Amino acid sequence: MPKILTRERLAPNLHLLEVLAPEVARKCRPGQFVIVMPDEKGERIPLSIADWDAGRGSVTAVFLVVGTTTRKLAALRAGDELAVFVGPLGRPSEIGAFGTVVLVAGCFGIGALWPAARALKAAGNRVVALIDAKTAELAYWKDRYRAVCDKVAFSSRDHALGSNGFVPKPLENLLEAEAPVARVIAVGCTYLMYASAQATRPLGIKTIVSLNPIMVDGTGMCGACRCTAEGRTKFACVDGPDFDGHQVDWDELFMRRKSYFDDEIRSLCRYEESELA
Amino acid sequence: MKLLIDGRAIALEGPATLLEAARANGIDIPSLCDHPWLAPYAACRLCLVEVKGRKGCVPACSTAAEEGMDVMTSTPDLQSLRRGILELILAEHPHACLICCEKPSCDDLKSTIRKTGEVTGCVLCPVNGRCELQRVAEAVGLDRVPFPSHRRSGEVRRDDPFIDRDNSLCILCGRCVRVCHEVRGASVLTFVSRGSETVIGTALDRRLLDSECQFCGACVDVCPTGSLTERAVRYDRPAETETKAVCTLCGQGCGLCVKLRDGRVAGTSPDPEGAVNRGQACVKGRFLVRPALIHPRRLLKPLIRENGELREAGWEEALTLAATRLAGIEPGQISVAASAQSSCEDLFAVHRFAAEALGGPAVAGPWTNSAAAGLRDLGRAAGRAVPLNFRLSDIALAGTIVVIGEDLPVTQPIVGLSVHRAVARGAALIRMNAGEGLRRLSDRLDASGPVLILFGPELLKRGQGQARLAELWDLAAPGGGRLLALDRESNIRGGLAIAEAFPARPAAKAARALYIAGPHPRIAPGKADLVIVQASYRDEHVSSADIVFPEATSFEAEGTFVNIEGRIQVSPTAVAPPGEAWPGWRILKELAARLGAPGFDFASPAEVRIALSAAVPPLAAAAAGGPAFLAEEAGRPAPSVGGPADERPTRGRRLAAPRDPDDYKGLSLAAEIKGLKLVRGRRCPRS
Repeated sequence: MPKILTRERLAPNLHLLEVLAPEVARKCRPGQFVIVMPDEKGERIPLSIADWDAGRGSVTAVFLVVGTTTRKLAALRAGDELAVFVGPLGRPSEIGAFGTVVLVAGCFGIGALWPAARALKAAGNRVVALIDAKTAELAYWKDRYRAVCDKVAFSSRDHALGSNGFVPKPLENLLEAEAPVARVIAVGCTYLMYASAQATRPLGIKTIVSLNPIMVDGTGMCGACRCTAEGRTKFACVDGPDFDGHQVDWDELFMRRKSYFDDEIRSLCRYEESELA
Repeated sequence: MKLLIDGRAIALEGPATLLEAARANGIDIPSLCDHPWLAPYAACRLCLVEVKGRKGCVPACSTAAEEGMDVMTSTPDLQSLRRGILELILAEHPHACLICCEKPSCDDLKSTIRKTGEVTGCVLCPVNGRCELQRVAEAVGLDRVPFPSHRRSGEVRRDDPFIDRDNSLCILCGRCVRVCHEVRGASVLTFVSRGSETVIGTALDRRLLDSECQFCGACVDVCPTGSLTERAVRYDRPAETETKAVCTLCGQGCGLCVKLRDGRVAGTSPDPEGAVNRGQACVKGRFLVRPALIHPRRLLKPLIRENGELREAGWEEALTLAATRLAGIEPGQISVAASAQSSCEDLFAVHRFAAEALGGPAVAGPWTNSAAAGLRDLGRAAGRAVPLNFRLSDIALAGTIVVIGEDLPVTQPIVGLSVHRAVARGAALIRMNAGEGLRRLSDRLDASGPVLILFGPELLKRGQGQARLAELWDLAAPGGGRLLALDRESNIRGGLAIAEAFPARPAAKAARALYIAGPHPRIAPGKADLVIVQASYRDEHVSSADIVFPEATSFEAEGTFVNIEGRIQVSPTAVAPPGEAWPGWRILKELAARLGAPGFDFASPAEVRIALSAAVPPLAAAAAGGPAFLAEEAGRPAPSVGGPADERPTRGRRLAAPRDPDDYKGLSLAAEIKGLKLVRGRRCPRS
């Protein structure tokens, strides 16, 4: 079973997981994801790939602790094994020589967008990152971004990072300063991606988002990850996860993500009780 | 006393702090460390006010109002001072959401991530919307924090039952430490470390479970932030409505606020106006009502035995079967038992049912062997009136308190608080176990004033219990002392009063049928041909029954309960019963109708109370619905031996008061609910 090489808390609720999976590592491309099960009886969850090392045979993901399964993952340590680690899955992000690309990353998306930042820079783009971090401690991997980006800016509600507010306004300022911007890629919570797409829509800048619906098998069989984009039903796992943010039915996505709200809470409470001794 | 606050003339009746005086007159002064249950502390400095003629500012919470004072509460200087104080407090509290322009839409759209492990902002916080910091920030008009956000150390501690502790949200107001010490007398929580490293914790950083914590939840209730929270509900959306009800998990009868969301119980908290508990609760009332009501062992449908197995049935089928089978049994061959955890309405219905439908057998119940019955019998044997009623507030004023055989934090936690208050005021406390000899006690009582002797059913369970009770009476009475009976079930006093009002024939010698209304009395199945049970939970009675009627709990049916003090309290329906459960009186009414028995023409609990008040004079006040005390008769003569009070159970069957203080209608909370199992099962000695 795939062995964990590193499990590290990067910031409150945000953990890095590095897993020994040479066959996955050989094939990873930016924008792809893996399906993980911490134990045999748990649920399957998708995690965006945040890095890989074909030589070391390892794949890295950054995840947000947001329920029972991620709570279990966050409790694992180096040397522990995962029941399931399948990937890489999903279509890779489109990487080309676009010109200036603005990346909007928040939460687990700071990790998830990092491979694209690296690849876009290598493809000859001017890469500008806007990292959203409510507080300074949530802005991890700043050095990684600074190493490959031409510019790194922040949107934050923390005085330490300028306290300039949530994404839309700082993004608009950045787009104006960097004009012309060829494309925007936003990865993070649904609200961040939605807000980014809303901000770029009037400017007509192509905006790619990495959708995060509830997902089970990750290979197009179960249909749990259905969403609506370009006016048609899509499966985020095989048709995405990248979509044109201006073509996504955001209301549906917000609603579908809440489908199992009460069950998720019950599951977490049961898990917490089972952990008591 | 007259003074001016913000230019308004204010008249005060008695002594008050400036904060109390202002609030009583609708003038809001922000504060975070002050709490009405606690002594003034003046730690947060938000309530600073200016008093004309005095230099600087004074904290309103710890400054006494004086004649002629001229107080200003919101000058520009004060507002700027408060903003500065709040900015510093918030520099160490996740405040991003407080000052974020996106908060309204975020609240709506990000709700799924309340389940994150750590709180980094209001949208992820279990008390979002109820937080006192949010309220104060709004009152002060704070819209920016000019300091970098600093996270206070430590991860969320989840290694205790019921309570999560998150020091990263703590503002060190000290309310939890103070309530634990001042009100609960537990002193489990304390300030640990010094200066900027200070956190709330326990001695040696132990778990609460290893620190003599009783998990009363008072610290959770006073916490102004999400630092101390109830784990089971922290991820839920907030409750929508709240109903005040009487807790029936023990005999104290505390007032609880039952919170509902989507028609289900979302949690309970002590009623700040509760006559018995005044904002305090115990682990059961605070944390166990919700899990108990939705426990998987709840009975949701009538059951009938078919081919040796119980199967679900409709009410009509079960009632008709019960009536047919009961009609086939001679009246003298039916035994009836009832629970002292049933309401007066339900118990009255059981007695009337036994009298009118079953030929008048005695109704056996745990009140017979109760501490209250022991005390009453003591008086009767001596031909004098021994008062059973008391007030918990009497205990706090006592000079000497003797507690026999009761572990108050477990069996009578709210009584324990009164004892703690008395001891804090200088009262002497003597603790004895139920088997201990009384000679040592008499030596110690010689020198002291009037004594209160608190005893429970344990004392009477032992040999010579009644004789020892008489000895205690002789020790206490000459000096003007009293004995207080502390029974454990929610309606012992009500059950006792109702049983006395129904003259009954002696129980059948070899009953062929058994009607058990409420599961409690531990009756062995014996050789009865027919066993009918009304119960809320599946237990051994239910397993051996032929017909089972699912009964609503007291939280699901309006009913009257008489607590240990003799206080009559009507508890409303707080939540709809689950499945097809009915209130006990309704089950009996329907069954009586099928047996052609008269006297059940009531259609609501209020109508049952009217009949009950007429039939049971001591409970006459119940019909009025308001709070009252059981009427006590002075100098009642001793009844003849063998009267209803001395009814003994049928031969071959055993009746005893419950030994398990955590029994709730046949569900052992300590065995069935993991958190309480851990609390009761720990080894550390209780103080």
